Amino acid sequence: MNLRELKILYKIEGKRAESPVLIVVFSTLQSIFLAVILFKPTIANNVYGNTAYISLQADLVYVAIFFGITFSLLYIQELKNDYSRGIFHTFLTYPISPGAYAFSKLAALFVRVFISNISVVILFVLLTRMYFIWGIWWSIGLILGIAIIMMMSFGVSYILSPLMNLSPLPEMLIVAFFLGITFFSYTIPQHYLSLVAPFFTVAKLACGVKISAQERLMTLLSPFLYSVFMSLSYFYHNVRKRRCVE
Amino acid sequence: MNSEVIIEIRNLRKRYGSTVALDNVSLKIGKGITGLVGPNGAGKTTLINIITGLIDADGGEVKIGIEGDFRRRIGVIRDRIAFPPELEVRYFLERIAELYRVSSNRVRDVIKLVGLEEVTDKRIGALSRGYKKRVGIAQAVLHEPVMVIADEPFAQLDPIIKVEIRDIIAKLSREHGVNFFISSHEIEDLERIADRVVLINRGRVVRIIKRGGRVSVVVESDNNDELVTYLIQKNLRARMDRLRVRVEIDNLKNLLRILGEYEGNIYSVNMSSIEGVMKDEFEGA
Repeated sequence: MNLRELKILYKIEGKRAESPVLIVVFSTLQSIFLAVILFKPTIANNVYGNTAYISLQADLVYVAIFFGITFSLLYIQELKNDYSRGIFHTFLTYPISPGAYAFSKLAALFVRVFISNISVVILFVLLTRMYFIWGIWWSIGLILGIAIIMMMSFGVSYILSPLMNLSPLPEMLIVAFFLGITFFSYTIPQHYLSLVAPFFTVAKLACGVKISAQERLMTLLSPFLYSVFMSLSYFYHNVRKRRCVE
Repeated sequence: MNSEVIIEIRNLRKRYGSTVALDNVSLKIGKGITGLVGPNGAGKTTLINIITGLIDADGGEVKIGIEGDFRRRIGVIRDRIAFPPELEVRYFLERIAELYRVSSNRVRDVIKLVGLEEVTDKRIGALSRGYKKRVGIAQAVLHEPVMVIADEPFAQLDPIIKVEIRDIIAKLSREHGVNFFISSHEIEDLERIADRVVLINRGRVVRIIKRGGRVSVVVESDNNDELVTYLIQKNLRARMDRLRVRVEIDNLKNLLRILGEYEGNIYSVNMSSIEGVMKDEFEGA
């Protein structure tokens, strides 16, 4: 991977992703996620008692899935727009690798959304004084968990990016992946689930459910698993045949 | 490879299913401006896309200039104006210059050269089509490539802008030594600036016409049939072509002298070196 090339492309894509719409949309989604954590236990406790925590965990998983699908679709949509408008092909005429272009776009969107979302989470933890209730490790765990969800979501869309010209196939695969995991979540061993879908661990964490050391480890390994698959996509993008041109 | 030859294409083949897009195309593209013309589906865009590395050929090879990454040796003006619309002109060109490791002084020079000074701080998306074409030319010549490959650079432009773009290309070629390989449907524009024109049809190179070679002249008079007979008597290749007289000549002065001696009225004389040849090649095919 050529870092110089990535840096220049990142400057281009970073400037393109400056629209405040992105921040508003994802900060709102993040706020909904956090509001569920904050208000659901209070209301549910008053009405249903302790069993409501189980319901909360399921709610959080659904919000996280919605969050993940939105993240993934955003990237694939942006990349597809560039492809259909011919911008992708224009960049292919420059001395860069196609994988670097796709990756720099991913990085620019990720950083943009990541900064706004993590800022919202940190403000939430501090302003609602949850930090005092949850303690430092729990708070860091939640922030880290949300960061992992974002990485995983963008990872899924990057992995599917070589299929962008077969739209709506990648979009359908994204939705099928997230919903499929949720559907089979009870049949898959929990530590494997944490590896493939770390939002389950984050939902448990947010509900105060104890997570095993295996689940914690697998959740932390999740970004590496996705990085491996992302590398495969990166190489696939770069395998463009130009045998005939010297 | 001969030093005058910049791009050498050997036995290039490309198929899309059962359709043959390029059928053993061999071609040497030299210095100056080389045009590529042909009817729709002739294989022009396929040839351009293979040279620029956007698609791969089924067989054959393309050699461009000296050693190294071929994309550093060519500049590309694509038929679609597709640059990030959110970026300002200067910002975009500076980043592309960075990719090519070109200094910012060069960016300034190129902006001046193609007449983008007034819009350097405007977003590309807010530019008129003519200015976007200029951005296309600017990004293609930034790194001083050995050859600029242009696909339909005059397409969808109003006549005034078309002349401006044509003049910029001619100026870059004559005054700054930039070589162009231009695919276009606009024969008249190509004819005015090209040193040679490659005719392609059904995936094959059918002819290469050089500037100063055979010229096709279309003449209109009050009695075209009589004029054809008169010109044939004067040993010229003349024929009726859609109610007009078409004459193939090597020497324009000679034709003008003969027309001057003609007793009937002459209403118009239009010259085209490519059009007549194209008609022969493509309509007769």
